[in-house]
Amino acid sequence: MSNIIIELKNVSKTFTGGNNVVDNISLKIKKGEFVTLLGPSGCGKTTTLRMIAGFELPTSGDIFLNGKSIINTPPHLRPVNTVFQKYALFPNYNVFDNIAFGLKIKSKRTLTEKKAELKKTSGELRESVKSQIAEFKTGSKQEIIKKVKLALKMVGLSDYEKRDVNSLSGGQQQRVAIARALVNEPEVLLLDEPLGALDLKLRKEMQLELKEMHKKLGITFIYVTHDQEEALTMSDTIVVMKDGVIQQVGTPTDTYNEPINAFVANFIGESNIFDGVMLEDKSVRFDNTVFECTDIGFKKNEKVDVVIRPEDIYLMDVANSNAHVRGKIISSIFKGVHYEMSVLSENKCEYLVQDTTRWDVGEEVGIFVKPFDIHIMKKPYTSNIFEGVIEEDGKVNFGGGIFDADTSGFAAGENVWVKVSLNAVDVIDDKDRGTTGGEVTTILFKGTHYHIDIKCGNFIYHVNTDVQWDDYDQVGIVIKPESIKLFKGAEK
Amino acid sequence: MKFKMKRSYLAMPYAVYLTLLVFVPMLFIVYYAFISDKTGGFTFSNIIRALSSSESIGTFFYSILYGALTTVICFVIGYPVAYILSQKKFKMNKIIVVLFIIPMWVNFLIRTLALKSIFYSMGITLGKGTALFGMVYDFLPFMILPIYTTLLKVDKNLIEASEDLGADPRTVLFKTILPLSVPGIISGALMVFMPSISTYAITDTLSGGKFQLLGSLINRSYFNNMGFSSALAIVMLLLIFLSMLISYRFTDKEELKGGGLW
Repeated sequence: MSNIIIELKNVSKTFTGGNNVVDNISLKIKKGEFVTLLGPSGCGKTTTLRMIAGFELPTSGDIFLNGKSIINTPPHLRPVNTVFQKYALFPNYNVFDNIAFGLKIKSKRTLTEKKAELKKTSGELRESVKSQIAEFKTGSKQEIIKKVKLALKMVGLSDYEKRDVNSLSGGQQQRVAIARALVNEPEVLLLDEPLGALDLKLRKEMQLELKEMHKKLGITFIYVTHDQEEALTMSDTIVVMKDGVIQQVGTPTDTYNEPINAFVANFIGESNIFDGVMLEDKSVRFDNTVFECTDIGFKKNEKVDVVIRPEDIYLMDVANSNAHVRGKIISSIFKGVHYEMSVLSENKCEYLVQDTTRWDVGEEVGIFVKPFDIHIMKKPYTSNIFEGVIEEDGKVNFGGGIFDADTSGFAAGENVWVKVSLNAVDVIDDKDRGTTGGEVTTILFKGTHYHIDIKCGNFIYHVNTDVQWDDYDQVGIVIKPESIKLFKGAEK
Repeated sequence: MKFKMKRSYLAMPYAVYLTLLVFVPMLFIVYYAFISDKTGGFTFSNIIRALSSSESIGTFFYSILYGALTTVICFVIGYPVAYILSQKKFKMNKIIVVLFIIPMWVNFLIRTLALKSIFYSMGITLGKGTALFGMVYDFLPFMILPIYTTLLKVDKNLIEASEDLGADPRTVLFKTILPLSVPGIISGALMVFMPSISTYAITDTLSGGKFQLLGSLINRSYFNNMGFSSALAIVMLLLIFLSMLISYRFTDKEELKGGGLW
């Protein structure tokens, strides 16, 4: 017997308008696991959850529950229940009726089945079926009351049965919503940012309570959140998503300590992310300095992302000969447990440092990093590559726009590969003045500059820029003709 | 003395309008209801006659019956229409809503007369059935619109929650959508019931004189017995007041208030 309860196989979802919200994801979820889908808004985590619940149909791919495809099963027949972000309690019912809703429907369904059976049977057997029905009627009513009371007790709301749901506080409503889902004993409980509307203290309390419930009930939980701390606290497994693609699947410890790429490192916890070059095994250069590290197996001079957690950077006296680089404190904030400081190195690279010792703004310091605290990651991309087509002499169509480029050697109508370096894309703040335009989706600070992703329809531009843009900024894209490199060999 | 503008002064025109055209005539009606037509003195006979004569009791009965019938028929026809219109999947909904509103641009008396000629040309004899048809025809939009607006406001999350908890489409409709649209249903029912018990233009035109509702009786008796007619008008007013009171009890819950049109 396999212990996989939910399996997603190459699932994609495209909404009308051509937006690829979920892009070919595959995922296996074990029975009894607490899995968290984690990612920034718009990464496809909620859509994934809604596809498991049955509210959205995948455009392609398949979803299995206990090995059987449930793609064609409507939501009301799936043995999963959802806790909605905005509770979605029925305002016309009191607490008891809200929680009993699912149970009543189930008992009514059994009753209709039994009555149908009664119609078919005849003679002596009729009486026994009849008494069965009568027995079921009284029995199920008692059972429902018992189950609802138990569910209310579990969420700590005993004696709230008769209360109007609107008279409850946000936290209490959320508890009712959880009880309403759990009382049906689903095989999988889906939770869509259930604590998003609660204040911080209550949220932390509920996190622990949910974790406790999960342990007690042994039901599989699939939890959606954009809060990395929540994910780290509660989950057995974290699935980090971005732009509809799974970035990393792993335990909280693994995703924190061994992030697979710069995005995950930045999203889970705070990080310093620098552009570096791998000189040879165990030797990397960034901030114009060669550091010793522990990573091997990269190509000589391969461009990499270097990730260092702020708590892994040590500040020391500027005269200390062990220091790797020297710099000046440019900000220092007390955060309770530690000080959070920014250090600008001699080569104008900014380091985020957390230390329990206080350094004042303006002080000169030495920076030291232990080799195994330097995490080297392969760059997912080192330039922008698009498929394009030559429109006419001097014009090439790619990435959602028609750009001027040197097309000598190519014929009109020819398909080409287009390569644009990360530094060659100019971002302007007027979307309509750009050759193409889109929305800023990801922002990484890389010590000396920002790395941003711009989503233009279904195309994503990766850009290095000195300007600090914000999430959801609408920007235009301009590329100098000489920076557009064309290559032959693209397929139709 | 300097005139100082206050916000409450803005209500003045309406207050004057209300006093002159609603409140004062109402006083007249109350006054006439207690004045004998013959002697000009104070009397209870008008009220007693309005409440006890077989003619008025029969008319009350018919008015409530036909008002209720019209309301029920309008609901049975109107709810599905409003439901279909409120579905996002249905792309024609804006057009259909307009199609339902367009007849209201035509004066309802003209619509009723047009209906009458249609009945004539089809060889249908006028009677209770045709009057009922006319009432449903004229008041249907008043049922559809408030239900439609409430259905549009129903939280889609609640429908999904209902499905999630095991409700098949039928159960979702009866256990979730229908209860949540009660405020719209009540406004719709009131907006159909109130004019249909008091209408006289439709019943007079389309019943062929075969039966009359409260409105017709008040209209007819006004010319020979103003006191009786006024007493009937007061009773009808109380009837409408009562139906509003009952409906208000259903919309007692905070979150259900403000649904529909009022």
